Amino acid sequence: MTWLRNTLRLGVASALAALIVGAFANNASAETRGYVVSWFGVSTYFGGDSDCPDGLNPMSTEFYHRELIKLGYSEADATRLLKDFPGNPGMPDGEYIKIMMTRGDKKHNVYAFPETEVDPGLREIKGKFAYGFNLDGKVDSPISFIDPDTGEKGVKNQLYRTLGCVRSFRAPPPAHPTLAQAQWDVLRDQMPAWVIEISGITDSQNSDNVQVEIHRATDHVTRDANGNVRPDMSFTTDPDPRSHNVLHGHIKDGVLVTDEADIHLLADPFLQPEYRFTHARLKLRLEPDGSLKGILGGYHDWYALYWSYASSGWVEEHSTSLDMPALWYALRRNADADPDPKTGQNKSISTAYEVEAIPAFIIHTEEKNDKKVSDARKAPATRLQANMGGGLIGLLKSLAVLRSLAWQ
Amino acid sequence: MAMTRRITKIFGVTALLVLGGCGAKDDAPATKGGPVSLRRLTEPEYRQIVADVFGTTIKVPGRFEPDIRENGLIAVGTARESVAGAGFEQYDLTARGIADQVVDETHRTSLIPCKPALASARDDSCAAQFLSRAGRLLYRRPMTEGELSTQVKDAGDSADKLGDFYAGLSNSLAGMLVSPQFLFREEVAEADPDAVGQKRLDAYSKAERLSFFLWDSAPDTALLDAAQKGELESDSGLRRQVDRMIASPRLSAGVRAFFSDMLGFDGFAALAKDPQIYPKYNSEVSADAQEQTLRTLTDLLVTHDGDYRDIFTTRKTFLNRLLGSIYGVPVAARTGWEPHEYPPNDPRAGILMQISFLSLHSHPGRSSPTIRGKALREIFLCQKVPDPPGNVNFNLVNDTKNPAFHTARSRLTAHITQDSCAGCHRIMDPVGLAMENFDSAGGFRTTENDAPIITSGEIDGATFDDASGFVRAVHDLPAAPLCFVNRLYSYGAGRPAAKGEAEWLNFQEKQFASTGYKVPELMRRIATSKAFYRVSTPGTEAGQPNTKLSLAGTAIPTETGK
Repeated sequence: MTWLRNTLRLGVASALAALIVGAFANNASAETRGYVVSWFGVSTYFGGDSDCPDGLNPMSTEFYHRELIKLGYSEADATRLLKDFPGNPGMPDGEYIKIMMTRGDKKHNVYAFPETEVDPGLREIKGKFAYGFNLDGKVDSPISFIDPDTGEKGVKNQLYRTLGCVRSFRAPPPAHPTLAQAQWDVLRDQMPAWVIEISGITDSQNSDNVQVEIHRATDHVTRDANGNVRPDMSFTTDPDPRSHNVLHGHIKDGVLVTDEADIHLLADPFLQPEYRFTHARLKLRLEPDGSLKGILGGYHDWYALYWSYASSGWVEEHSTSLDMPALWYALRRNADADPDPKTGQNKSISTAYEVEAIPAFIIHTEEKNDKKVSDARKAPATRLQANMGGGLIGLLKSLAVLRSLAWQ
Repeated sequence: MAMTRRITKIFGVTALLVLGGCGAKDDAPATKGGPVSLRRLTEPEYRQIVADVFGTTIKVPGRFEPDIRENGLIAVGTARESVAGAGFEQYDLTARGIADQVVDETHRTSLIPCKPALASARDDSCAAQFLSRAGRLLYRRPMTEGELSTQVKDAGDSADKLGDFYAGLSNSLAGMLVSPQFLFREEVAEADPDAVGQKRLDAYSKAERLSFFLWDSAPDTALLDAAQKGELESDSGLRRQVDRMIASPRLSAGVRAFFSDMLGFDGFAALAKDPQIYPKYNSEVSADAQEQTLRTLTDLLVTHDGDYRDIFTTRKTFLNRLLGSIYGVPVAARTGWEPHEYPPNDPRAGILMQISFLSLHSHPGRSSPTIRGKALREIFLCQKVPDPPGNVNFNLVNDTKNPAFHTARSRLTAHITQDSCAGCHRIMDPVGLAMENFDSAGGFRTTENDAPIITSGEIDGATFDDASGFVRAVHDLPAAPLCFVNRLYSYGAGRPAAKGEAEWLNFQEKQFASTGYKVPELMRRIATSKAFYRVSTPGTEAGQPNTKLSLAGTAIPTETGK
């Protein structure tokens, strides 16, 4: 804390000057609110099995059996090999695992070299509805969906089209799909938290000009007594500039929508090292309970997404029934942006991810000796808040925060 | 249990110092003292002694028997405690675990002052060196020749059988750690040469009482040396040791231990909150809430030598991020604690508005003005509120969703229409209702079931409009500092104040007031007083006073008799 106090001492004069200027230059009622992301997962629309007229994709036992037959095993042998499914790698009951790992050319790891196998074919979404954004501006293109809530046309979400008929990506709301939930559970505990800060809110229902910052924090989320992400915790932003995203947006009828921008989220090195969304935007509803709920949409390198599932190989494939070579071909087939200049193959795919965030305090320490604390909600009279552009009341509250932090 | 009685007489030194004018005159009213006590070590005391004697790297495994609380203090209840069979097994396991660590290869070099001639055989000389040094600190007095020879023989015989000097030493040390000399704080009386016909604690008992009072641990070498030299029998010698101990950083540990006891923090071990209603509350919050309050108190009372009454109104505290999430306050420190000061208009002030008090004195699923009011009166005002009669119907107060009674105030107002309940509730409820802006987990709220919460009320003739006014009223209650003096004295003496000590306590309270309610100074006055070490003689022992205090038209039995 010594460094922080020193920083504060050095920065108090400039901070006060900024506060005073801000107090009169900005709208007196502008607020800054802080949040920590409490849920992040592939956005799916559960419309019943009519979305998948070709049927859902087979379970792993089914497609492993299919692959064994393709490889020349007899029906009896295929049944015998899978008798003790899932079995254990390297053990007699896991004999089939080694076969499946090289099922393309019996030589190379099929998860790293999916092209060694002929496309097994992944059954895809053929319904009309999906969440996301009209990323390319085209309303009536063949790949367009309709937003099931707003009726907006032209929504692009080819990732959902690819994954939507895989059983582990299907769940009736409010449940989250199993695989998305499992991935988030790992990410949530393994990686430092993602925090969102919205500033310039003059009216939580309608604000024309707000700034949205997304940062990675230096701290992990903590859980409450029920295992959920604990609200109202304080998070310090990571000074690594790669984790900073500054977006511009507006709030209309209680829904925040940001302008198109690139969004870079540093994640967990093991499961998903990073998300790099291009032409991305956020649509988040400011809920009455103080939380945010909505989606982040944009284009994403499809191979990076493939590898986030396939890097675990058989472990993830057998447990989630996500046929990895089939996924690879489907992602490549459904990619809809960023064509390679030489091959014409699209390198990116349209995506949408569900985002939920709950109130948190965000503490910035990396910015020119300034200290900025954003509150999670509209600050009650009793709650401290340092809002650099928060009007005269914000100025007084900021002074209280600075004083309290310097006191010892 | 055969306990060795010992008398240390050092009349000559005492007389010399008094004649030399070195001792300060104790102008407090004389007392007849109370009985000596035999107190079982509490778990924190046990752990602290092991840490002091052998270092903090020695782990203390196992569980301890629960303590008994009497007259508002575990320190008093420990005089009623013994060791049951199952408890002895735990002590034995713990002792063996400690002893094995002390002699292991990691620690033996630093903890054992000699090396045996042969590691595989007995070495009585080396064993005696270690055991006499450790024994003096563990028994809080020098070992008698008989005790030492027995322990050395045990170590040697075990070494012979096991072919290992250190295993033998461990066996002997484990035996000392389960001995009554270690597990019990035995006080020994002797004739007081300055007061014919009266008794006082002997030097080592005095050192022991002093050390546990000020440091929550056994006497250190310097204090034992002072006892051995007879220095504690003179006013100046006693004052010198007390001054040294009060100036030590270890005073904070003593103050923390006292308040942990007074505030009933042992109750947190059995505290639970409904996670569906209070998801933010868990065992980590429970531990941190205690720490916050203890940090607040030691910072105010020890570091800044503040006014005791300000514990009810101080806006300065310490927070970590976990507690910040409940208080709704940003905490910059990524780990650990940072100071925090609530702004003047904030409803939080003082330890009554902290999570520790609010959560400890609530139901698992709802707050309880009655429990909070009772706790405040009993803990801080030393007033005894009678238990409810056995046939009370609690249905109304428990029904928090009753559409006719939105708030606790409305439910309690209806409840006390029952004559059998009204008397006590009139004492407790107005006090507890002042804290209704805080839920069972200590979270702030302004409404209950969408109805506004009203926190105005009255306590012992002082009216208030809100929580801020309430804590100011408590701050100014004359009973609060008087109760504190009584509690602190009882804590140190290990017994309730005797009837014959009432006048002395009253005097100390006046001194407490005249010196600005400074707690270290009060501890100094108690620790250097003759009354603190006075032992009653048969026939002069008196029971606890139980007079009546007229309070807002209601008679409440008090513990102090004031």
